Amino acid sequence: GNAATNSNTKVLKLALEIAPNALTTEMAQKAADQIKEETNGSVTVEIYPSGQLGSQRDFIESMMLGTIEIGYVSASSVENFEPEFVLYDIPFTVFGPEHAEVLWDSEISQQVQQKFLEEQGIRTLGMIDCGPRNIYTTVEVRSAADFSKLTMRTADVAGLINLFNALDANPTVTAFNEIYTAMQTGVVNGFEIGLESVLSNNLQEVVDYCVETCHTYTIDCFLMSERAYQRLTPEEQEIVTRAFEEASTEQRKAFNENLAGYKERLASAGVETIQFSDEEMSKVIEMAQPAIEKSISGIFNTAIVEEIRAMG
Amino acid sequence: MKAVFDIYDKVLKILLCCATGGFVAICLLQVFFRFVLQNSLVWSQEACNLLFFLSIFLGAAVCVTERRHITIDLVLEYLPFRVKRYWYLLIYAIMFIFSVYMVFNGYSMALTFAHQITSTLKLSYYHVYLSIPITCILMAINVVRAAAYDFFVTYAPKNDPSRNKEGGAA
Amino acid sequence: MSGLTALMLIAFMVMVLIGVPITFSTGAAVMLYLVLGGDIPGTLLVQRMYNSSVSFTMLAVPLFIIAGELMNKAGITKRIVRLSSTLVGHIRGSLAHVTIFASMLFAGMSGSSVAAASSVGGMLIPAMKEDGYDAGFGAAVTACSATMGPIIPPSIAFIIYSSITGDSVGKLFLGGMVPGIIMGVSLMVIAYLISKKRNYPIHERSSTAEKLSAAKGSVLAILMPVIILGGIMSGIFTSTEAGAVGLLYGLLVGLVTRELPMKEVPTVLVNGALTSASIMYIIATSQALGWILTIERLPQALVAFLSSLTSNSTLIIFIILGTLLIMGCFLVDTAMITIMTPLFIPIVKQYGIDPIQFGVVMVMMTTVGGITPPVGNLLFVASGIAKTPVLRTAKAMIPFACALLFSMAVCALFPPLVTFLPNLLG
Ligand code: NA
Ligand code: NA
Repeated sequence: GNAATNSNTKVLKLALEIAPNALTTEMAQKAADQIKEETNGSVTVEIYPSGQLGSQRDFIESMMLGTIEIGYVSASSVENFEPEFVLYDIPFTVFGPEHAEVLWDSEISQQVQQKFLEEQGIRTLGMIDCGPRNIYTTVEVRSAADFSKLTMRTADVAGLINLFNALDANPTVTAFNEIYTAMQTGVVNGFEIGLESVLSNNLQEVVDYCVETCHTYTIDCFLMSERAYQRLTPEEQEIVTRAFEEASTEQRKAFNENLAGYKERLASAGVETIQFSDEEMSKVIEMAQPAIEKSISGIFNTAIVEEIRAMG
Repeated sequence: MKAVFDIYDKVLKILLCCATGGFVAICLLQVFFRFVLQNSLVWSQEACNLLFFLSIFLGAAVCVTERRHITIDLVLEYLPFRVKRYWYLLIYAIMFIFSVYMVFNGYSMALTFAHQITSTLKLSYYHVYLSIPITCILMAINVVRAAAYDFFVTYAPKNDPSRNKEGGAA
Repeated sequence: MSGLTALMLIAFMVMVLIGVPITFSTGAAVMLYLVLGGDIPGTLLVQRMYNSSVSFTMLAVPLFIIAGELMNKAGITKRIVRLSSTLVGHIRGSLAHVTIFASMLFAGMSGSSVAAASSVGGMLIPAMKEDGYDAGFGAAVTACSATMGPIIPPSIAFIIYSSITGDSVGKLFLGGMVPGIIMGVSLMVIAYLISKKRNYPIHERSSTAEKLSAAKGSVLAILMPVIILGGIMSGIFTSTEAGAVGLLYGLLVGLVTRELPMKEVPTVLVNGALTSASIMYIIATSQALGWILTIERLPQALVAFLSSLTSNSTLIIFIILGTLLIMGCFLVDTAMITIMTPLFIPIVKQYGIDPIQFGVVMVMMTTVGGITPPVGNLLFVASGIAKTPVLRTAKAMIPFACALLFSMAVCALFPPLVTFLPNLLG
């Protein structure tokens, strides 16, 4: 129904939960522009940010149903559809951007993605780096023992809840939109998300400390419905694949360049960053061991943990 | 027939009461575990959400026979009694078609996402989504009942207040 | 807008008018679009309905509605009426003022307007009816004063706005203070004028002894808001969980004072569940409608058309508010903020409008969407509690809605009303 598009234009609806001015949305827009130009307008990507078309779980469902074509989701939200996606989300296994990339490109990761494509009809278009997940609190947490002071907001994800139970923190499921208020009233005194999300939602306003636990490393991805992909001509497929690959590569580069600036913004908001000593950190990892095992039980062999750690 | 539907209505209300009472109790338990025991429940929020969803869909089916669905009765009030019988039939027809459409698409959702599991309770979405076609079948049944009742009883010509006033002279 | 979208909207309006229940009108209109359109599967309707029903925030609706019914049965309502009539009963329309004031208080505790409407309404609509107020009037006061919920901080709506534009949540919260108070005061003025015209009950000024005795008799009643507000403020529970705690309290009081027989409890549960189901089912189907309007790019078309009309920045704000008023007839507030904010922000920047002021005024208008028929969740919640037809509430609402629009216009015309506090402290 759009005046600018003619009838044989293939429209790809791309849904994101993040804001229009977020880095990844800008990269998606770039990919969209590139695709439109290189296909001479035969393929257009329409971008719907801010969760206008729903949440990440909906995006995956919607791609399977055929109501949207491309979705931007975190690897962890794929787990309910393809349990092996837990690969990217095992606590305390990935510790840096290169490490995350190596994991994404590894053979086992390629197998998992291939399986997702074959069994659920969803293709991965590119990996997005959202950095380490740290803990943001209003109470001082300087040792492994201090975790017991925390009432942690977590998403409704079993892996995270189990992790913070294992760390002796008190995990509480709260909607993302309510983190700000819950921190203000004190229903929770800590939460864990990526740094970019903290800043884009202004959560630094209600936080005093950032505890650099890097308990998981956030890997997000662009996904595309295979049905929609097969409707494209081979040339168009190549253009779309390349555009999102390039956008993702560029995002990873830009994100890590921006990281120092993000940290400065956090510090200038009066948030103190706390780093654990190696000794404390190993205590934390030891405490987390039951949760690590629980997260992969019945999906991967326990050897996978060391295998992934060895990639870094 | 009436006895059967009385039991049917009663069962629906008992289920609705259990779903509602369930999320109330779990919500309280959640506060108790977090604040008093300092040890949060993993599954409580999801359980509350699912029971809430069930109470909405089941409740919507019961609302049909209980005449509780919100309606703008701007035009309805001014309709002549004779017209109402057929007018309501049209309204019920729309409601019926919608319910049946929901049954088919809800069942299709259940089949499509049978392999998907919920985050914390690890339930299959087959069972979660299956409650949609089931509640919508109940809704369709209730629509037919309400339609029949209005057509043959509420707006039957013998119940026309104007006719009764004139002692059936017309 | 495609012909199909137009057909869908027209079919929706026609069905609502001929008396098809609102949720079926919305659902059937969406069904029509999906069947005739062909490229989007019918499962979309089911999927959108499911996803808007599994919301912990909305769980506040049934919890507070049931809590209100229990309090009513347990005699807590009667005690509230008695206490408030001894305290402020000499003022014309006292319970209406109590409702507005309670809404302001609750707005300061909770982030959502539906939570405010169901909690305050659950308690005070039965009280107003008992004291001789018109049910439609009671529902109207409740629904309209609930719109202060997202304006007086905290506010989920501001948090969503901030996540889209990047503006400080703290500044937005501060920006909402004065407009919230303006809304409250103008609602009270209207309530006073109407109560005076209708001769709503006025009680003689009570003696201190009478006040004390009423207070003593209503200790159980006063404890309820104390527990709810205190619990939220001290971080013991969230505003949704407060509903469950209030419900438990109402139940215990009812059982202990023996005013509520145990065998009536299931009936109250079922009744509350039905009221909330009838509201939530409308919200669910209207989410599907909103999804379609979004992918049909209707908001974009509307904004492009309207912004071509003028280049005056004050007029632009009013045009935007007008657009939101229209959209608000069909969409629920949070959906509207996520869909419309990205479209307005470039315009706002171009005309140099303060984004905090814009955010506050915009959120004010989106919450007004909650009271405008045919789809208005506050309207439904309040009418549901008052057990009165939606149109009767809507009619009673007109003067109050005017007061809200007036407050909004004042805040749009005088930016410092909004921006003074955030600039002072930020
Ligand atoms: Na508020
Ligand atoms: Na509305």
